[in-house]
Amino acid sequence: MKCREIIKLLSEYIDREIEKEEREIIEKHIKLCKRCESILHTTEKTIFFSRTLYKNEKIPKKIEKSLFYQIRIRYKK
Amino acid sequence: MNELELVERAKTGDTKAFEELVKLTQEKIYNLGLKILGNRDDAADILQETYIKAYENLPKFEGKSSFSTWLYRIATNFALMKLRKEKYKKISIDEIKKSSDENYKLEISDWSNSPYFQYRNEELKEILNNAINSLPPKYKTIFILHDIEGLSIGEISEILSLSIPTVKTRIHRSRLFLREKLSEYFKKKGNSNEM
Repeated sequence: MKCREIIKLLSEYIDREIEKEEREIIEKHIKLCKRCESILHTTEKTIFFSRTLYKNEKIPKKIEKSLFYQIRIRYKK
Repeated sequence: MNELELVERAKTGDTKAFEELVKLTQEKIYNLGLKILGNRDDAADILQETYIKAYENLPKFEGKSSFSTWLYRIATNFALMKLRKEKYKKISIDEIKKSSDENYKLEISDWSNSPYFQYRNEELKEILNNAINSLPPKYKTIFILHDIEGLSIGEISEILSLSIPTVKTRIHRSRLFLREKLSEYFKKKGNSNEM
């Protein structure tokens, strides 16, 4: 497989969405190709780093109160 | 009572059961809105619009997908509508395709061990945040649903009514585009191991 085809499969490789056979081809290629190895590593880091940007938070009480108010006024209709 | 039983009761007009469902799922929906839209006011709007629509459409809910997936679908559609009006300058689909399809031609550096790559590097966070916000609405939403929220490709395909290959392609292109944006930063810093 050429670099171009390997790169096309990288996300599926990261997500473990590919067959064993293709996985082995990619792993073999990456051992020999610094360029594809770099793309794989930096893509994985990009994903992990993206996760640090987002944090879950509790719903502010005011927003929750207003949500239930909006729902309840519809019960009467 | 589990989700399914609560849905059945809510469908018969049991408002207590519906409120129980809201309580069980509201935090997920609120945080999804917050992640896609980036501020509490819009997240609060999405939250309200989602449950009002869910309440009104409950009789039509057939249970083909889980109640949570159905809610995600409603919330995502509202979020996408808002996202399209956002002030962020979006990149074009062609640009995102180019950055993923021509990646193999570019000079590649491995910055994964660069000293500038730190989770506390605020400059880097800002670059990534701006890059995520510049993704076309559906790409951004798919990226958040999959890589941040951890939803499966199958669930996303249901939520957005897109085929599985389309979802996969968009995840892949988004990742490579974001990777490239971070690479530009490291290139400027000149401290990664150029090959």
